[in-house]
Amino acid sequence: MDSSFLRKFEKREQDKATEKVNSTKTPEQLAKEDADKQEREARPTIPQMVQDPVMSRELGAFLKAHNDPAIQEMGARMLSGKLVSGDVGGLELKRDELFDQKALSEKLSEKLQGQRFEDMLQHSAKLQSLCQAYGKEQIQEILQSGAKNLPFLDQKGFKELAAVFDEVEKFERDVEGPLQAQMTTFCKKFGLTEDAVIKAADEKSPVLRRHQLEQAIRDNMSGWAMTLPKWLPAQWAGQLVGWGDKKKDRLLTPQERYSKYGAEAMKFSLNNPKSKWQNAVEMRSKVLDTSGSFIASFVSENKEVREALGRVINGELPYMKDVIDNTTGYDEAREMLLNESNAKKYVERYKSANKNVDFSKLSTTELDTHMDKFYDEAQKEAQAESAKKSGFWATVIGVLFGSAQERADFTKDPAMRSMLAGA
Amino acid sequence: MPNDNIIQDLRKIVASGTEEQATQYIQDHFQQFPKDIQQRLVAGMAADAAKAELAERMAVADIKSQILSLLKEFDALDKAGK
Repeated sequence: MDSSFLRKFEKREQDKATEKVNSTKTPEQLAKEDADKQEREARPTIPQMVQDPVMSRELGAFLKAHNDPAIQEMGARMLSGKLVSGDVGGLELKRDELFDQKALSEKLSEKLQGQRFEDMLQHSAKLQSLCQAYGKEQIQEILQSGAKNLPFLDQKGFKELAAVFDEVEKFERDVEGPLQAQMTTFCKKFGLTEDAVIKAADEKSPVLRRHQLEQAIRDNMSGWAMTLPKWLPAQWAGQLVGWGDKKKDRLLTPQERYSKYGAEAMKFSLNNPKSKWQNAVEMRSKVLDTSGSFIASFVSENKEVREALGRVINGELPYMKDVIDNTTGYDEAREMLLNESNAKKYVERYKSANKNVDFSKLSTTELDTHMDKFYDEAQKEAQAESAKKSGFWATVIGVLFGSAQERADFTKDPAMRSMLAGA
Repeated sequence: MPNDNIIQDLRKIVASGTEEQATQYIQDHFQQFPKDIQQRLVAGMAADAAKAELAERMAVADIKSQILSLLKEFDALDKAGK
């Protein structure tokens, strides 16, 4: 078939699809897209950026912040004017990323203040300690200015911070907001005190939370039970669901009810085992029992149980999967350091890649050359490993990577040298 | 004031010390780190804090949705006249 015809057909189908998508957008969305398109088209070209001292410095820092040798080499070729095939496309992509991230970092910086900052303090002992030692305003200023600078300092750190706040916003919009709205509507319809439910759910102490949660559910049970008197003989109805005592009586155990109302009341219950009243109680108790196990384990005081359960729940929910799962602990982060014990795994790989070299017979100068090369390769592998990690300790390891001191410590370390030169 | 040896010292502590020692070192010497490293460290702490907060809010939301599910079941029972 004629390929030009196919192309025309594909284009027409594509246009139709675009038109269909656009027809579902609001005028505001279309106007925003139009403005974004114009802003993109007005962006400076790579040659213009290279000519401008400020933009050139920014682009250089941005490329360096990727901590990716291939991108850094592309930046070096750009500055020396020795671009190779594919560089132009690659640089244009990076230019767009740079402008997008600059805009995003401004917005992010604005968010990191006020209540948002206070909330973060409540969830970070490290931030709290810094604020106590150096002042809250100073730490907030460092965070806000840092958010703007991160695209040029630490790509991984910037993307992580931006991703977390993106998840927070998605969660507020897609989960928390609708859930709250549903809860408000439903509680009103059901006659349940919303305050009691919210208070129960927001309570930080597991013991108090469980108590309040049970209280809220029992309060709810007293609501439907108010209709009971019409099926009960007046004397029992008056006693069981009497004015002013309705809720209290719902909470009585059979023994307590016996003490309060005597044998006659119990006899009534026993003689009418399948009354509507009892059926209702049984069915509701069953529901509480089956759901209660979840609630009980969730509000368990046992920290490990709560954390494990939290991980399961987080794993099931799309918002938490990438955000939480990759956070690196201290010990895991330390394993990425290039020291004697951690470098062992790289030695074998380096030696097998250089099978023609007799490492035991190297001169000092030759060993120096190999140590430099070995360091570069080990560092590249360690960085690739650390790029997959996130969290504060991964950031610390990122700070420690690649300094001149690290190279000197690594290549001049007698233990490292003998490791490479040994059998 | 930035201290040239600060990174080297931190590296030694991370290589051989505990998490508490490393945390304490960062806190005690925070102002001696270069500005860009201060920014990276605080941003790392902020990202962890925001994750912890999000996890907590998700847990609360989950409890709320569990309560809602219960209430819906009660409601269904009432509607069915059981």
